[in-house]
Amino acid sequence: MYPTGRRFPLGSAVSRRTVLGGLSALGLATVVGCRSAVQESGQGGAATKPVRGGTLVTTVASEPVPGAYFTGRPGNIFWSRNVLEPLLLLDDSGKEIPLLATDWSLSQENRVFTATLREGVKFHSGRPFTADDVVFSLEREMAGDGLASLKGAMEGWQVKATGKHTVTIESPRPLQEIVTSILDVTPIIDRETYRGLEDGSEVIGTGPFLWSEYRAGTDLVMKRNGSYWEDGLPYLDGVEVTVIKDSTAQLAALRSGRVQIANGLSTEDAKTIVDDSTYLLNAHHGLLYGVAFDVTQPPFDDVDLRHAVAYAIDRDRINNQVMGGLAGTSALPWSEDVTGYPKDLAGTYSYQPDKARQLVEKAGARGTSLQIDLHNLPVPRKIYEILARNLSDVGLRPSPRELSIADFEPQRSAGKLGPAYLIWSATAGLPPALMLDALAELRPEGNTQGYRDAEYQRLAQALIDSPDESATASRLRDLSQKMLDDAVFLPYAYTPLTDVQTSSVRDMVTGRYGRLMRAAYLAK
Amino acid sequence: MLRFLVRRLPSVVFVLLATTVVAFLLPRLAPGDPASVAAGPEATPEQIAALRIEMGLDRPLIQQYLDWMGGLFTGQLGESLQFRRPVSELIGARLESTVELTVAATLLMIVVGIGLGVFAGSARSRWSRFTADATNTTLLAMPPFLAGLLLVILLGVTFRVLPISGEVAVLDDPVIGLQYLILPAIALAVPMSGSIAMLVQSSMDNAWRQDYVDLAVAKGVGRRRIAVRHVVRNSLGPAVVAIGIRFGEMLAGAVVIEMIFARNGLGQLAVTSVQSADYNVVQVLIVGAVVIAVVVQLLTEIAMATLDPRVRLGV
Amino acid sequence: MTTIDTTGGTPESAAPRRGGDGALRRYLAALRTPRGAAGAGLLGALVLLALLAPALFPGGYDEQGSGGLAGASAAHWMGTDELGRDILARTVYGLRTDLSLLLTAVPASAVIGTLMGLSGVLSRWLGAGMQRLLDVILGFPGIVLGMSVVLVIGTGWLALFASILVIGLPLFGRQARAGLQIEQEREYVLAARVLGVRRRTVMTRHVLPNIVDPIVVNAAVYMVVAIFIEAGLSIVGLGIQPPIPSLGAMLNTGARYLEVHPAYVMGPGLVLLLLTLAFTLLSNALNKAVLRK
Repeated sequence: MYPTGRRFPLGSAVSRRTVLGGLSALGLATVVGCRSAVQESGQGGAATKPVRGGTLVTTVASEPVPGAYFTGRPGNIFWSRNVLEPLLLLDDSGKEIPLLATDWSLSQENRVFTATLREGVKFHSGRPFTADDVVFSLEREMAGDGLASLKGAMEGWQVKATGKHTVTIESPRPLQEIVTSILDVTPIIDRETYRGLEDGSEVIGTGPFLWSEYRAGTDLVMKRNGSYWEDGLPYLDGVEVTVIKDSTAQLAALRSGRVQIANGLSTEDAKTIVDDSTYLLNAHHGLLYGVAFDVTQPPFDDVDLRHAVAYAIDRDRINNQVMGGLAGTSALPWSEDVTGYPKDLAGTYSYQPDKARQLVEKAGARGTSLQIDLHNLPVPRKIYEILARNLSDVGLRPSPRELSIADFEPQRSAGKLGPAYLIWSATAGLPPALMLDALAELRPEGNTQGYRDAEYQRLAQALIDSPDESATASRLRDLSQKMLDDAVFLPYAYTPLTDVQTSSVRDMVTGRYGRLMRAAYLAK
Repeated sequence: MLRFLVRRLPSVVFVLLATTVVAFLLPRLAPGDPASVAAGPEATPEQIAALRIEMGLDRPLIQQYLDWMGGLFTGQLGESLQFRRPVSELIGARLESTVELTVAATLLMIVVGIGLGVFAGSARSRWSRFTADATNTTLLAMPPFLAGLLLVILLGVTFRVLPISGEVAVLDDPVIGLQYLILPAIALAVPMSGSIAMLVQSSMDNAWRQDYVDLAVAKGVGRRRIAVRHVVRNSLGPAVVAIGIRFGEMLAGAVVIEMIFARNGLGQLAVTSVQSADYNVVQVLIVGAVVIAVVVQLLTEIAMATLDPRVRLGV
Repeated sequence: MTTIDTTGGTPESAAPRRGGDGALRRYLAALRTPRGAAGAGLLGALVLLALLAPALFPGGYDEQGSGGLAGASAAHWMGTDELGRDILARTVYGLRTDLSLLLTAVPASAVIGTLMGLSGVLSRWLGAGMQRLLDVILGFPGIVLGMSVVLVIGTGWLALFASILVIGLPLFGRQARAGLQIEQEREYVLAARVLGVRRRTVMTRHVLPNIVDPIVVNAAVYMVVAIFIEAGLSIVGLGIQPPIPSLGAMLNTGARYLEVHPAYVMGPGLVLLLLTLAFTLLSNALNKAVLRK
């Protein structure tokens, strides 16, 4: 259901409009006399060998945030892994790609992690990279710098440099499920200049590109790192990131050839341009969308009513009309490829309005007015419209309260939203043991719904402490069943993130926190 | 003139001062916390609290206000909470885009507005008068964003002639840059040119009824010559003043147009800053807009006095 | 944002005139001019359409079909939106929302603004204070003011109402104050004062009727601006709350599907244009009638 492949077709065939568009553009070229911004482009055929040179221009919908270096930000995906490098990177199929570490292993019941580091690596400042830099970076992350998002799972870690190029991590808990995901989010920062990351005034890493020109909120230019640790790489002379907030504008920028990769197109716009030959769609990782309930007060202190909502949601409609049919509609918050995914539980809550209506009656809640809080953004708004309709159909009376992000998030972390509220989260696809801490709605303690349940806390801890794969599978199943029974957070869509690229961009690696362009090139 | 300026000074200063207070308080009254925006959706309360201190949001309001005002006089506009960059740098980076749009739209407005107005004012046949009137009224009624959307559908989607969104700086690449500028400039200029045209038309109607025109007619001067030498020339004064006023309004009007055509201008900056509760940027933009409005108002009064000796610079 | 003509490009109300008993007759005469008749007819038709919405579309504005963004068909004359809802029905209901805002917020703004402008009668200080307050409001670009209002009281009908009300205050307040100053200097007012007629009587009998004309014309002008405000705030994402439609909110969403479904923008856009056109014609006609007299 949930697509993991790199590229997949999206209803192809060059439309008549494209042809007409091309013709009228030619018409303009004669009228204007010389060049047309609409069609100033050039994509070529199929080169197989990497080509040296050229500048890759990318666009993102939200601005780069250099200060958020130990977490994910949509605006950071085209620069972060090209300037700052982690020890290893997980690509979109979960494969581990060694970068600053060459080798690693687990020992002592999976509680000790040992890594051998790459030698001969230099920071952009010229300083050699050593084990001390790894210790420094991990310690900054554990202290919560760089908006570290997974530091909760790092509690109690002892990180030591056991040699110039060897590092060990000792953890009180088993590491096998989570350590690579944590290292994936942890780029190695330069201890001499890391404060410059806050405002982007100085961004120094070991990556294939140098942070060169930065205008906050609008654009960023990266230049080739001539002394990159791998000889001959990178192929590109530079990478540029420009911020274009509007989907239509991103589309225009792709069409005109101004940019080669766009991240931030709406699904509808992506569909109009992707033809699987010149323009390709990349789908990867994902966002989790769901509704959460404040269980400390009526009406959602009643589990029957929460079940009613679970059966009332038309997940397929949300998928088709909001997510362009690309989403998974599981009732579980986990991605399908996690260890021991309980597949048979995924369809627990299907769209059954009649059953939902009965449950509303059982809860004595018919005609209950309830406020649903949401972000004032297009996608949550559309989801709300469908959800509101679903809920009115089963006898409830929802009303929206739209909040800006600036208003929503503090209320969310203070547990003041509700009785119901819609969230979306980029934690989707992380190992469940990490999500239990990273996604506030799933936390066993101090979650945002005021949900405190000894059994849930026990099951969650058991999963976190799981020593091996088979234990993980059975413990994940138990926890999932408990989540579905209590229904304090109901996921309804699990959608891939998408970007559209021209086919001239080759050999880019897609990681959760950034695209790796060390070996990328522009085919002629 | 100097006396006029001196007399106006207290009220101008008052308005500006009051504006700084309002501009400072208004965004802070709105619910929302810039620290939590910067910290991101999965941040812990401790991370948010640490950011609040780092951003200086824990200091008393009075102190924040006085610091900001002190900065304004020394040219320090403060630092964006969102980007951790000087506000002046953020504004500087986007100024060119907005100025290009405004200048292009103003030029269009002048050409179209005066052209249409002169046409309407000198039209004699019932039919051409009606056409001119209808065009004027439609332009006047046309909201700029609607004009923008219609232009996008017509020229950007149906006939793909012009780029419908994005931008390239005119100074970097004039040919391409101008193509990006045409549609948004038209959209912004359309309704304003309607009102300019109406103004020109009514003052021309007025001018035709003046004695010197009757005199010229009696002397046997051709109608065309009268129109050009006397009527048009004497009717442009109010239009010039109105254009001045409109120029100030256009800067504000650019917000919506920038949204539609995805231009990275000051309007976009204002919208994102409001959305992410970036008080420090919002307050500077508001004060800037008010300063421009006040200056334009003063200049207009001076210009009116220069154009028309009957107007004296009173209170 | 849009062209907020708060500088009052409207009547030069300096001409002396008699009391307001003829006002209504003048307005009716204005409606008999071609412009006035066209404007009134158009507005009448639109209001009628909005009133008839429940009868025309018994399914309401939130009937969600299975497909999305369908083209025109017998069942849906203008196609459907992204959630499979009838665009025509939503346009008509959106018109209803817009009219409900305009016909309440603009008069409210006119009344409050006028009272603020006239407050100088009660006390010089109050009048001067109000004047400064209006100056400050005037300084703010409309869209920024609207956004601030929305952020303080949250999105929804009420926020739009408040934005329209506040943004219009300087327009009416300054007009009223200017009118007041002119009227107060007139001989009949001075005479009445000398004769010992009470201030309040002078105000209600003599001054007020004479400033009604420009206020009415300004109100018609401001209707257009108010439409711009609703749509402008919707376009920056701060409009009416879903699932209720408004013309501006539909334009905002529709603009996202320009490529695939142009009718989504054309429908509400056309209705919006007709609405602004109706008020533009009306304000022109009223203005001319008032000036001619």
